[in-house]
Amino acid sequence: MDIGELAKKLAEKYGYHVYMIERYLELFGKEGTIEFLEANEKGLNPVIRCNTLKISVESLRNRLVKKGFVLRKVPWIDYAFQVIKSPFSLGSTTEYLLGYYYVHRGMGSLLPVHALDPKPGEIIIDAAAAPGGKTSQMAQLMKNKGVILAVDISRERMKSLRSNLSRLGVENVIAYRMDARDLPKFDIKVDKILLDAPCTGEGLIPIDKSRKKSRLIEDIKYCSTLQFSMLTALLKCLKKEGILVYSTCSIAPEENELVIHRVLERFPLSVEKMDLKDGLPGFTEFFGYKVRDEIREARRFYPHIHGTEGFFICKLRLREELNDNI
Amino acid sequence: MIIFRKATKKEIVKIQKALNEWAGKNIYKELTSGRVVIIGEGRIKEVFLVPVEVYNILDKTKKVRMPYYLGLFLGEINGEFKISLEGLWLISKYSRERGVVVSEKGEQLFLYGRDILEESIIKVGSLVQIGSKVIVFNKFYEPLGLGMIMKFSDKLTEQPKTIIKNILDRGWYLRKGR
Repeated sequence: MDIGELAKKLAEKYGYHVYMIERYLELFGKEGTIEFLEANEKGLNPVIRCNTLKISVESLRNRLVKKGFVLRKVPWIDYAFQVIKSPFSLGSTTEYLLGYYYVHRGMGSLLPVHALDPKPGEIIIDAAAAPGGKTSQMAQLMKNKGVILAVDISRERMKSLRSNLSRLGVENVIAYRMDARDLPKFDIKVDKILLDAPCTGEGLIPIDKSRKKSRLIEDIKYCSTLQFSMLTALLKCLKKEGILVYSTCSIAPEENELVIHRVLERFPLSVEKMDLKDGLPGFTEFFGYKVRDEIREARRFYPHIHGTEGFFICKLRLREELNDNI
Repeated sequence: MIIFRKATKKEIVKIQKALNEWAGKNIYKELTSGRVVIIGEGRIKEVFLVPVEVYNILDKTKKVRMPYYLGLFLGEINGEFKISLEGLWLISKYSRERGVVVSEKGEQLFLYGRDILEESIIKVGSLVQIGSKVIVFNKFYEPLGLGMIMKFSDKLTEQPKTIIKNILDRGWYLRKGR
C-alpha cells in the first residue's frame, strides 16, 4: 500500500484530516504513526500540582488519599501527581477551593516552567499567561518573591487567571490584558521569559478529540507567523544573558523547530541544554527543510512515548541585548 | 477603565480599622510590611496588597498601560471595607476567636453556598456575638468563608435556634470563578 492510500485509510479509521496523517507518516514512519494515533485515543490522566505556597506536598497527598484518591507521583517533578482515580470532581474538593492544588490536563504543561527554572527575586514575563497554570507554578517556585508580568489578550481567559491566582494565594504578579507583542513599549528588561505560544494544539488530541478535524494546514502557517512575531518582540524585553523558554502543545515542526531556526538566524541567541530527564531531540530535517543542528537540544514529548500531551520545548539564551531598532 | 493608585489616608484608615477589628489587635502593620496598599478604581474600589517589587513595575509601566490585576485582592471599599476570600485567608490565623468551627457536613453545605444550621456548629469563638460577622472554619481551622450568626425561633418546636447565614464562601471559585 502506498503512503497516500495508507494515510487515507488511517485518517478514516481514526477520524483525522488526511493531510495530518500524511505528515505523521513522514515524521514517525508507519509503526510510530499507529502508536501515536492509538495513544491519542486512550487519553491522559489529569495531573494535580501541589501549591507549595499554601500546603506541603505530603500533607496534601495524605488528605487526598484519605478521601479515596489514587495518585501517582510525576517522575520528574516532586510537587505533582497524576490522578489515577478520583472519587470526586477535581475542581470541587475543599482542598481545591482552599487553593491547595491546580489541575493540569496532562504532565506536559508542567515542563516549560521546569525548564525555565524561575528563582525568587527574578523578574519574569509570562507572555501567554491565562488561565494562570504556568504563572502560578512560577510563583510557587519563586516563593512569591520577585515579579511576574503575566500577559494575555483574551478577556474571558483573564478572568480565569485572576480567579486562579487569587485562589492559589499568588501575590507577585502584575497582569496585563494586551498583545504580548506590545511589551517592548514598557521599556523594561527582564531576567527570563516564558512564551508558551498560541498554537494549533495538535498535541492536545488525547485530551480534546475535536482537534483531529478542527485545524487546517493554513492554520499551521498562520500560527508559525504569529509565533515568530511574538518571539521577535519578546526578545527585545530580555536582558543580556537572559533566558527565554519557548514551548507549544503542537507537534508541527513549522510551529517549533522552524520558528526557532528563524530567530537563531536573525538574533544573537544560543540554544541551551535543559535539565529534563526525558524527551526526544528536536528535528533538524523535516518536510524538505534543514534547520540548525543546535536545535537538537530542544525536546519533543509524545503521548505514545512519554505519556504526555504532544509538546515542544526549547531554551534560548540572549547573548547581546537588543535595541528597539532590531 | 480601572485606574490603579496608592490608597489615600482616609481609605487606609478604613481598611486598617476593619482588619484590626477582625484580629482584635493591630495587625495592619504586619500585613502591609513590604507591601503597598493599592486601589483599583473603576465602578467600585478594589483593594490590593502589592509587594514593593511589583509596585515598582506598576509605577514604571502605568503610563503605557494600566494592569488588569495585581498582587493579592484584599477586598473592596463600598462605603465600608469588605474583606475578600484571600483577605480572610490572611487574617484567619489572628481571628480564631471571631469564628465558628463547623462539621464536615456543614463544611460541604457552606461551600455549596448554603447556610449553616445549629447541628453543624462544633465550636464558637469567645468573641462571637449574635448578629456579628464570623469567619467560618473547618475542623483544621481553614477559613471557608464569611457568615452572619443569627438566632431565630424554630416554627415547629418554637425553640430558639442558631444559624449562620452565608455571606461569602470559597465555593465561589467553583460557581463563578472559572
